[in-house]
Amino acid sequence: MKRLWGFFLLGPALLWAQPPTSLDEVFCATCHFDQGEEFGQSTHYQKGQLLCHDCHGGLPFEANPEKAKGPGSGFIGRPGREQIAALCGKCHAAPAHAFAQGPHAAWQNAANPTCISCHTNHHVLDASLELIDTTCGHCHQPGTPALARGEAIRQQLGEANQQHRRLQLHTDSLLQVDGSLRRAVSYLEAGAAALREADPMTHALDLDLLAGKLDEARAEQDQVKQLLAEREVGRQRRSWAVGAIWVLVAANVFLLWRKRRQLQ
Amino acid sequence: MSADPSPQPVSRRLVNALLGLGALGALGGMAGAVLAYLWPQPGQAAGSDLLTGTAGPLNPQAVGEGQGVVGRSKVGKVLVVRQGGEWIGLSATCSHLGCTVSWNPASKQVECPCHGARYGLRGEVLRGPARQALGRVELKVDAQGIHVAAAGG
Amino acid sequence: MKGVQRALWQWLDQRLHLEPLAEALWQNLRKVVPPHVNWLFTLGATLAALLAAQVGTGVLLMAYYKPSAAQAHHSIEHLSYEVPLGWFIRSLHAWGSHLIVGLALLHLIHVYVYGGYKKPRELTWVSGVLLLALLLGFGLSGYLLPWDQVAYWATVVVTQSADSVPLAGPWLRRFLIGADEVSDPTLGRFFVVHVILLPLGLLGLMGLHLLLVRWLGISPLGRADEPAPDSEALRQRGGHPFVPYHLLKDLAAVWVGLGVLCTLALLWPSPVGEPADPLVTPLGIKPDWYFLPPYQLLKYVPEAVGVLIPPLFFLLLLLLPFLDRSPERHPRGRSRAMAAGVLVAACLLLLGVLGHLSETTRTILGITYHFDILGWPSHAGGKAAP
Repeated sequence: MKRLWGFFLLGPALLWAQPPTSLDEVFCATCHFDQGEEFGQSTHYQKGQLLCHDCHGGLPFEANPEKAKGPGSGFIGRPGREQIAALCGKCHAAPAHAFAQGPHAAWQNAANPTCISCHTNHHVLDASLELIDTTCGHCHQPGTPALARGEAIRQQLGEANQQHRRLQLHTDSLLQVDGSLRRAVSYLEAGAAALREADPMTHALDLDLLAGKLDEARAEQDQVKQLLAEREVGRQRRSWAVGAIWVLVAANVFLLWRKRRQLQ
Repeated sequence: MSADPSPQPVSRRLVNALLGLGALGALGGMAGAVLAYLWPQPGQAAGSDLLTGTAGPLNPQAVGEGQGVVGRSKVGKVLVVRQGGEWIGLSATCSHLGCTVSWNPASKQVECPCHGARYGLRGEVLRGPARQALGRVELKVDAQGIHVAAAGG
Repeated sequence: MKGVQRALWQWLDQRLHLEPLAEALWQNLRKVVPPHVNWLFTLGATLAALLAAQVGTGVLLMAYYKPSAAQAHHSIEHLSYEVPLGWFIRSLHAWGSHLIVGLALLHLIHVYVYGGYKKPRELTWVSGVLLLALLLGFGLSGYLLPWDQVAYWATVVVTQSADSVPLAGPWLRRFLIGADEVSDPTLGRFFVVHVILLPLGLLGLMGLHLLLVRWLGISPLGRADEPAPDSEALRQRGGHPFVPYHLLKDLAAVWVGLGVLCTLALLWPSPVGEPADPLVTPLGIKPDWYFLPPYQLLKYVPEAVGVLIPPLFFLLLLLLPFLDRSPERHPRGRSRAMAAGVLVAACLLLLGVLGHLSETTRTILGITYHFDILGWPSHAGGKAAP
């Protein structure tokens, strides 16, 4: 599961093919030491190879703070509530788009979360199903319909991914010995793609929307299951055919032996 | 069948018959398998109610006013002519000897290239050697393409 | 029924004078076969039946197969997934090819051991060795036809060796392939070879081979410079006429052989492989098992030498009846020939096994070995292979 989300985060990272710049070279961290340390542990820095200015603007290698944060440097400081979704959405377009359609999108309502409310800033937490477990409860009381909806989403996503993983493992192990299941690979890939698209959809917090996408994945999985079932039926039929053939062969060999005895 | 030293003719005939049966059975099984293997399968457009050309469903927008096109469907080959804003469907199989007819926009007639038969837009025979009219096909045009209903008289 | 048969026969006989021919044939079929003829001698009939099955399934496959680089693989997919019993016909054909080569080698060994190649049966042996060459040609040309990754790259590997033939090597390879690398022209000419040229040769050679076997009879175990025992003498030693005794044995063997073929095709059907990609070589590509010995040999000796050894070996095999002039047929009286045979078979087997193991990692009795390109093992650690 984490791998699926991690892949999503790795996407932008593939654009940068160099080792990360050490945060020692970035002047922001000289004063903002704690934030720098937290950021250094995050996926954004280690895999995404982002630096402070990618979100905050400014000139990270300018030693003079006036120049680094002055006019013309693009420095925006601490982003306001209204800026966060757009900022994160510059790379994470799909979750931001889904978020904008969901009940949490009205940033003017201070009770609503922003991206960093659940994913935190600087030491950004990787997207995962476990995050749903730990963060919804910060605002929503147990037993409320809102929390129930979050739990339903988490459960459905978890189930769909688990089923897919089980099917993938089963098919892979069979593929080792039976090349005829190659057709299943394209269905499995389509299913995995649908599940990858479902992940960012969680931000819309819309069960129907999610269900639609999960149904897509399930349709692909059903194709695979049908192929596996056909294979099973085929194998059983073929085993019966083998039995019938050897009965026939044995009967005829016996008859030929009797014929020989008769002619002696 | 007992294993006595001097077998009776009945036993001999039985063994022969069974051997023959076994051989026939094997040959019959092989013949059945070969027949099933070679049995003609339905074509691609056989079940489709959408008129299909060589590269997928026919695009109605590609058929201009006064033009015609032939496609395959579950009722066979159908000639589609767009005339006066209407979509006219006729069976595209010439009633003479089965060649595929086409629409001539210049003469505004359905023409068969094999022996020169001519039909009008209602399927009626204008010139032989065809004798029977072409069957009408009800069409429905939407965003997906040109649908055929059951073939008419 | 019998009356109809007789009437038909008389009609034909009046026009074609078949009576003396039928009489001669019947006399031949009633000749007594030497008593030492055991079940090993049914290999020939089994081979003939399997070859007939191969031709039959091959003809059926041709109804759906398209011999072009663009369409071949897709036609195999259509055949395997959509045509009723298509997967079965294809599997019969694929397994048939393995069984035929295997049984042909057994048949060759068996004739060698029983001295069946000595006078007056030299021509039978020569036609048989040529048939074996044909069978290997079938295997080579047919293997490419599915146009999947294994087929494509195994063909590249096998034809690569033609390059090493002294002087004409590169030209020979390009002529075989029909282009600079294996591509559509290769498929075209391999198809022609597989589907009409080799079958015509097969028909001719098999006809000759069978005719000679029937005409000369199964070789006795006595010396070739002594007169062969006649039917009566053989009968006294416990022999039986071919018809019906040995014919029934042959039929039983044919039933079992076809049963084995069907079983293999049903339980292990041929899968459809990945479509051929000339730009991506998969790992561990090797030719089919009967080409492994020369393939492995080429790794130990300089290529210019290695590529000439198999044809030389074939030539020696072909000329065996003329090189081994000893009139003794019985294996007990030919210890040198037996030793030589065992040595050659052991070498071929060793090369084949080394070829199979080379460049693989296997766990034997709990210890993981990695076999390098020459087939030498080295420890690869206790855990499962990377």
